[in-house]
Amino acid sequence: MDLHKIVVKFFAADAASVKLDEFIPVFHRWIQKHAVEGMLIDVADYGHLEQGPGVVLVAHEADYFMDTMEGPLGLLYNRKASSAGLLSDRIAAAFKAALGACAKLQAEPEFQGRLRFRAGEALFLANDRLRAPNNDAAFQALRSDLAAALGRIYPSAVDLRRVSADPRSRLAVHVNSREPVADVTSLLARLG
Amino acid sequence: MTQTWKDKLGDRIPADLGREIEIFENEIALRKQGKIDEKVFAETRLRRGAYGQRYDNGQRSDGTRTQILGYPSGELTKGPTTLWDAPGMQRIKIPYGGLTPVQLETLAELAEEYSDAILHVTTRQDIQLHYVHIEDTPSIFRRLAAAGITTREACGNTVRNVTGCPIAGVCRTETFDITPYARACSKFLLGHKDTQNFGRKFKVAFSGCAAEACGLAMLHDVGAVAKIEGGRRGFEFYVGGGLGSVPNQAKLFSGFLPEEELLPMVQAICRVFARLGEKKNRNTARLKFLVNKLGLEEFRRLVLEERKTLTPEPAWTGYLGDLGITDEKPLRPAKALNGQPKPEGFDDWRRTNVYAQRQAGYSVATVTLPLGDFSARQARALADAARRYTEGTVRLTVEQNLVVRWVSDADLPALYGDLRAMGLGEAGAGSIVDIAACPGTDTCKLGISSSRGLAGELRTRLASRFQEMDEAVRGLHIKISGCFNSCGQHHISDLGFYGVSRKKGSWTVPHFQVLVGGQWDHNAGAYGLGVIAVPSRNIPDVVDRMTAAFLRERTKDESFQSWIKRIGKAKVRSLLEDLTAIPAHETHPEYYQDWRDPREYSTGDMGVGECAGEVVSPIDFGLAAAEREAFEAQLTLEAGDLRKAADQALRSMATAARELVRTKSPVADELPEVVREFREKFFDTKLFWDPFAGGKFAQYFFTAVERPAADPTSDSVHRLVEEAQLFIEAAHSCRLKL
Repeated sequence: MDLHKIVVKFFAADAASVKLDEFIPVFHRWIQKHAVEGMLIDVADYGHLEQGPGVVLVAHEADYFMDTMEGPLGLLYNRKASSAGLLSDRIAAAFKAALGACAKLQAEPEFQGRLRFRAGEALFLANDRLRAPNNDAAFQALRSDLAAALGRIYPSAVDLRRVSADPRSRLAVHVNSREPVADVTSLLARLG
Repeated sequence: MTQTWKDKLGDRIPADLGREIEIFENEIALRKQGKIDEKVFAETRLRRGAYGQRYDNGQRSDGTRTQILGYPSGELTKGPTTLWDAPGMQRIKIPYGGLTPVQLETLAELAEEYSDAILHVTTRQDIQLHYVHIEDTPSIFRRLAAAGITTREACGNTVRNVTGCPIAGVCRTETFDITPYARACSKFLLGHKDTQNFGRKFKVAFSGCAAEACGLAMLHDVGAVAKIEGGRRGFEFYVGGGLGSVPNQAKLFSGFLPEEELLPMVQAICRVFARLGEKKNRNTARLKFLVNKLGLEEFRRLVLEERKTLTPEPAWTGYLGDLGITDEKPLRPAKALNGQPKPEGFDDWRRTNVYAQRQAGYSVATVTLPLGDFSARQARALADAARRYTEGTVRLTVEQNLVVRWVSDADLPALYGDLRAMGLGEAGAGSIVDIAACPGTDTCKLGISSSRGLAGELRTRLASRFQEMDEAVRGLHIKISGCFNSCGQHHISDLGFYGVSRKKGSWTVPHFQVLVGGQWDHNAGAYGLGVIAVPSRNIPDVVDRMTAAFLRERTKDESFQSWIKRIGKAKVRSLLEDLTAIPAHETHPEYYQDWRDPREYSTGDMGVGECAGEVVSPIDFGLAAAEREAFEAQLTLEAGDLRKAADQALRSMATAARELVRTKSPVADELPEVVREFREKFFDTKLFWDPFAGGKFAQYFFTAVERPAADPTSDSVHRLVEEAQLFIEAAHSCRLKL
C-alpha cells in the first residue's frame, strides 16, 4: 500500500486536567526553539469547537494537533509529506514523532505533571481515502505493515480494531497493548 | 501505476470542469518548470480560488525574531513573493449557500485530507479551507466537481459567489423565492466571455425582500431585491454597492426590472464594467468607482445602450420555464411541537435559533457555528441530521452560520439533541454573541489585528451572561475585520471593529478602530463610521460600556442605531476616550500581545530601548491631531454641514501628511508644499505605500487636494471622511517604517 499520509493519536490520561488554551503558548515556543522536527510554521486555535482539531502546530511536513475531534483530547500527529522507505518504516516514524511530541509536552513546565498520555493505547488513521478507503480490504492490506511497525514500538502484542465501518470516515484502527505500558518515554526509548 | 482521483472519479466529473482542472494541472507543471510567469500563474490560481496565506513570503515573526521559513522548493513561487510550498487558502464557492449532504461530506473529506479538518464559512456563503498545498488543488477540484461544486472564479477579477437569502422559499416576508434566479445568474455568469476581462472582482446578491438583511443586496456590485409589479415578477435593481476600505451604498438602477431582463441587464453591466472600468489601479477598479465617476445617469444610459446591442442568449430566459427546479420538499409530515420531552436548553435555543417557516408546521433551524467554523466530524454529523429530518436542505448564511430548512416542528427537540451531541447546539443565533469575524491575522496576509482572537474572547465573555442580558442588548450585532478591508463586514453592524495598530515608544500595540452607526437590517441600510481607535485589550470594555450606556440612556423601544444618532458621535467618543490609554509594557505586557496569541506584537526585528514606554515623539502627537480632525469632520457631517465636513476631512489628511514630511525635512505649513514634499518623499519613494493596497491611500489625499468636489453630497463627504481615516491609518503604518 502506497500510503504516506499517516495520522497517529495518543490520548491524554486525564483530559480535564488541562485546558486547550494552555497549548497555544507552548506550541509558539516550540516554533521559536525548533523544538520538534520539521519546518514549523504557525499555531492555529480552534479551541472554540467542542469536537474539533483543538490547537494545531502547523508545519510543512506534519502537523501536531491537541485534538478533540478523533475521540477525547490527545496529541494527534498528522504526516502530510511523502517519505521514503517501506510502509512499516513510515508508520513507525509517525509513531515515533507522535511519541516524541507527547514526551515533550509532558515535560513542559506549564503542565507540571498534570499532563500524561496513555501509552498503551493509540489511534492510527490512514488519511488518504484514495489509497486506503475505509473498507475491510484496505484494513487487511494495511494490517501486516501496521503490525510490523507496532512490533517495534510495543514490548508485547497489541490488538488492532477497526474503529468504524462508515465508508465516509477515514480508515481508523484502534491500537491497544495487551500488557500495561509505563509511559510514552519507554516506547520512545525502544525506537531509539 | 498509482491510481489518481482523476482515474477514480472518471466520468463523475462534468466534462467542462474536468477540462478546466486539467488545464490548471498543466499550468502547475509549467510553473514548476519556470515556463509560466509568476504573475500569470497567480491570477490563474486565484481564478480557481487558490489564495495565498499569511507567511507565504517565507518569513514569520515568532515574537522574538523573524524566522525564515525554508521550504523545500526553495525560491520557486506561485505568485510575486508567494513561495510555492507555503500553505494557502482554498475558497470554495457555494452559490446562494445551498449545500447537499453529499457535498457536506465531500467538504469534510477534503478538510481532513488536505487542510486542518476545519471548514470555515465566510460572510459571502463560501467555504474556506486553510493550510492547503498548491499541488493538492487539482485533486481537491476533482473531488468537488464530482460532488457538483466548482471553485472556478472563486477569486480573481471575476464574478464571485452569487449570494442569496438563506431562508428564500420558506421566508414569511419575502416577495417570492429568489433561489432559482440566483442559481440561474450564477450559472450564466460562470465562465461567460463577458466576465473575463474585469479590472477587479464583481459581486452579485439576491434578496427576497427589502426590509430584512439576509441577502445584503445594498453592499454588492449588483443587488437584486424581489418585487412584483402589475402582477409580474421582477427586481428592484441596485448597482455600485460595496464594502472594502471605503464602503459605498448601492444606487437604485431600476425600480422594477422584469425577470426576463435580469440576466441580459447583468450581462450589459458586465460589458460596460469590462470596457470602462479601471484596469491599472486596482484600488479604484470596483464597479462602485465607475458608477461614481460616470454618475448613475450616465452609467445607466451606457448600460441600456449596451443592452440593445446584445445578441439574445437562450440562458436569459430558459430557466424561467422551470423556476421550480430549486423547490424543496419536506421529508416528514408537518406536525406541531406538542408535549414532546424537551432537552435541557431547548427553549433558549428555540427562541434564538428557530424560525417558523411560512409553511405551517415547519421551521428553519440555525446551527450557530462559532467563528464560522465547523470540523470535518461535525460536517458529517450535520449531513446525517439533514438526512434524518429533512430532504437534505441545508444552506450557509452571510452570518457565517448554517441553516437546516424544512424541519417538522415536532422534530425540533430531537434535532436540537443531535446538534448538542455534535457540539453545535449553542443558542444565540443572530444575537450579540453570534459575532462575525474575518480570518484576520490568523491566516490572512492583510490582517493587522486578530479579529478571530477578539471575536472568540468577546463570544466567551458575552455568552457567559447571555441569558441575563436585556433583550435590547441581546439583539445587537458585532462584526470584526482584521483590517480596513471589511471582510468581516464591520461597517454594517451595531458595533463594528477593524484592526489597526499604534506606536507606544518603540513598541507596536494592536488596536481596533471602533465603528458605530451601521445598520444590519434593510439589506445593510447604513454604514458605520470609525469613532476612536482603542487597544485590542480594551475592546471588551468598549462593548460593556457601550451596551451599559445604551440600556441606561435609551428611550422606550429606541434602537441602538437611533440612540447613537441621538447622542452623537462626540458623546460616544467621550464615553470611550480613557480606554485609549496604553499602560507601560513593564506592567502590562498583555497590551502588547494580540488576543490568543502570546507573541510580542511587533514586526519582530524592532529594537527596544530603555524607557521606550515613555517616549512620545512629535509625530505621534501630530497623527493624534489628524485623527481628531477626521473625527471632527465626522461630527460636522453628522450635523449636516457638508462643505465644512469636507474641508475638515481634507485638513486632517494634510495634518497627517505634514507630520510625516516633517520627519524628513522642515517645511512651511502651506498645503501645496506639503503635497509636493509628501509626493516626492513618501509617495514616489513608495515609503507611504501599503504592501497590498499600494499607493491607494496617498491617492485619496492627492485627489482631495487636486479635485475637491464642487458640490459635495452626503455620500461623497461620507466617503471623504472614510478616506481621511484610512489615510491617517496609513500614516500610522508609515510611521512604523520611519
